[in-house]
Amino acid sequence: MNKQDAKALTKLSPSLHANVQAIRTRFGGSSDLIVRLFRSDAAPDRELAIAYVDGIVNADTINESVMEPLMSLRLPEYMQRRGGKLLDALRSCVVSVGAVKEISTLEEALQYMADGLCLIMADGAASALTAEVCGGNQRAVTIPQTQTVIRGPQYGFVEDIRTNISLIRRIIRSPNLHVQIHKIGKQTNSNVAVLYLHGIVDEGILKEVYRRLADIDIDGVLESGYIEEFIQDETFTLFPTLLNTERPDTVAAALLEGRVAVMVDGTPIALMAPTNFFTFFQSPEDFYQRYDIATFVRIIRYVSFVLSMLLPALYIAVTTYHQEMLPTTLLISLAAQREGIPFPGLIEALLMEMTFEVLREAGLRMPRAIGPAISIVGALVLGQSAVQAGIVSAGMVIVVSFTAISNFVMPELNMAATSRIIRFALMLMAGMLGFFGIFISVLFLIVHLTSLRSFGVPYMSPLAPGPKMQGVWRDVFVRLPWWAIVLRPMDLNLRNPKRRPSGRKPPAQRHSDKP
Amino acid sequence: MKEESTRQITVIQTAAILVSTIIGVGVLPLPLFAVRAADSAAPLITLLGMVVAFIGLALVTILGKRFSDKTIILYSEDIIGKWPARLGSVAIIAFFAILTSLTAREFGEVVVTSVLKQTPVEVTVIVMLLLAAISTRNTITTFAYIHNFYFPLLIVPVILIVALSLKNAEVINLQPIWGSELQGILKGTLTIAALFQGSFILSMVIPSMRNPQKAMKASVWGIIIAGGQYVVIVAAAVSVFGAEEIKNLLWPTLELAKATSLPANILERLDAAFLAVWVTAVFTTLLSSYFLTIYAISHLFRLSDHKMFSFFLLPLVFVMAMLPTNIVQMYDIIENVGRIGLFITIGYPGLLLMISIIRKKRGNRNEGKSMDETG
Repeated sequence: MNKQDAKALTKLSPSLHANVQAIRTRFGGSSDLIVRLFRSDAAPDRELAIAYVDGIVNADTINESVMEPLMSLRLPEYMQRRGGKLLDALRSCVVSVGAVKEISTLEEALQYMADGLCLIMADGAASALTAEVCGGNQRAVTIPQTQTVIRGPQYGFVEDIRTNISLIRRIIRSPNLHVQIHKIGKQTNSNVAVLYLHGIVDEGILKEVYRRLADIDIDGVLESGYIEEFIQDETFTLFPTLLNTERPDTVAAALLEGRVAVMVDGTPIALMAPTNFFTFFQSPEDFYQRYDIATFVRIIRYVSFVLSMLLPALYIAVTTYHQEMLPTTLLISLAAQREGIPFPGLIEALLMEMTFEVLREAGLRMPRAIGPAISIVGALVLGQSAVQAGIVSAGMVIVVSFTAISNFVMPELNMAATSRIIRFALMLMAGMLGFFGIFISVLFLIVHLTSLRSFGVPYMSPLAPGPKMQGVWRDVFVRLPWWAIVLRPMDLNLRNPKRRPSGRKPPAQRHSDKP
Repeated sequence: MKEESTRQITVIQTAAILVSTIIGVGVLPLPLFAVRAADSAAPLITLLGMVVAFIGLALVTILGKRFSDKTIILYSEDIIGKWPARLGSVAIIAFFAILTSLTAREFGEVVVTSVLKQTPVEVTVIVMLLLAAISTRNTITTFAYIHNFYFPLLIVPVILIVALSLKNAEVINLQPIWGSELQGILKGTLTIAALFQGSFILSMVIPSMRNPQKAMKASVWGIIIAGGQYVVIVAAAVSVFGAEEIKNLLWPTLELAKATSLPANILERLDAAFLAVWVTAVFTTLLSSYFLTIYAISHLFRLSDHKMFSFFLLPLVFVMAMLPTNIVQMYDIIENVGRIGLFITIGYPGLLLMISIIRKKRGNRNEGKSMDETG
């Protein structure tokens, strides 16, 4: 409950029937609202009631831990003597659920019921008990759908935030893992959890996260994307300034690096901040594979990111303006391909890129069963036939296909999407001004990137403004062996910048050849 | 977290700002300027120009250290009084506005002459100025980050081209090292020193440095790296083409790039790739002089925000850039403006320093902690 609403709160009435009536009215007589009035041996003279919303509670728990004890148990003598404090007695002696809380306002009662808690009321008491009996149907923890790894844990988040937090807790078994749950959304009252590792996280960043979350005023939060758009630093940018993942190990790694994670109930996607440009090129698998392979793959990613933005633009620029740059034989073979093509390079490229984007989107949205049809149409009809019909050149098809494939190398989808949008802008600039246009656009992009901040952390760090400490480079463009990565990656004033005291490999025990 | 503290710029960043500001559009005609003045003594005269430029930069640095909380616009008022100082500041602003427009024009001419032959020069100039104008709408800290980022991009390719061109180099072209005639040396030295004028940006950067007392270190390194690169380029161009041939080339450095090719025959010619680097170099120079202009204006009017001037100045700079009628006239103007500029970038700080020493004026000494600077 917010402080502004404090005036509107209504106290629970001492009359049980009045309370039940009020709850029924506020729920609009919903048929999944279950209210049960009963008398029990525990307090034979007073009527009791439990109320909950069906489907989001665990019926077994209600039966075993709330109803059964209430109905069958007798209160000890000394408890009976205490008269009016029946609820107190119930709480301490009868209800055998873990978390029980006493509340005194109707709004609280309604909120807890909507959250899946069971309400226990007694006649004559102007308050009620809530018992945690959350339950209902949920998806089981399964393999993550969007971020797959070959080596590494094979489970992802689910929609239930409690399960998700527990997955993190199982990785980081430490009281330093702090979890703060906020309610965001006037109607949905979604649980938004902030997770961080106490002692590692930068307090300033943590405060900033809380401040931005507190400022959110929205009726509903259905996915972490809602939160992301509210708390990101810059709205008018193509570049994501928050990481997202559906992998618990990625979140755990981020927490260990001093980031703050934000989880939203109802979605398997968690957010992590602050971040910088280079984090988007790291896959969790980088850290599970051997460092040399990881380094190689990481360099491949950087190259393909640049290619997926620049390749069509470069092709346009070279074929339209700078033919002299190409070696003669290559130039001749390109010119021969383009001989019968009716369109200028820019139109040809735009045509093919748009086709690919349409195919891609179609592949995402269509029902699974139509998949093969789309791939036949896409590959054969649009690729091969277009070349044979002389509408696009074979070189262009190669360029577009390679661009498309290199885009899929990116481990983070949002960064991949960024490069796709920028690609079109670059193609236009290349069509207008050739190389000059491309350079100008790249200059602009870099200026833009350096001006970005993610929760106050420069987006291009440690490249610009340069590393504050030696050794930050060991996990940016390359990944050195784990024992060499001494520092946490972010160029922040972390409280605790070092992961481990020294960068030495533990010496291996050398077995001599002699037996 | 959102408000960045105003004193964030490190020594390395300052050096990067200096290097990438100094290396700019002047790289292309530099060997021509040097050879015209002193034939085969071109590398030597470049070195001399570098020394002269360093004297100017050193004056600015010493002044900046004496008044570590203020830009030259503000501390000049402390030294020589309100109105004379404002006159000086207006001269600085006007000079750098002109320098910005000339840089943009020179850049436009190169692009139109060598790469985009059918594009009107207005287009390339306005695109470049727009890019600079948009980029100046950042804080001075981000400004430093931008230079920091581009710094390696400016150093590595030039070294690469120089190294690759060594294949065609003839040492005999560099002799006699002392040159044959000494008449043009003074003029040539000043012309080349004028290419270093962008380093005046230091007078705006010092108040935002984390440790202004280390500014001298930054300026020494900045001059050594940028000047060293200039000397290397001149030496490479002269050794490849020879002094007499360079006199017939408008942009010898560009020809140097054209004359080199990558070993594996991937790209036939390197000039477009070189132009890419050079666009970056020009951009950083343009950004600095543009930034200096609007930052100085905002300080002159005691405004906390310089952003509003970035587009306000754009039409003015663009019109000035279009004033020269052709390349020859443009280079005449550039040489003259450059030499006049030396009075502003070396003479004026020298005067200020002298008077401040005589009048024993100093800024407040609690360096590093003051937060009252606008930025």
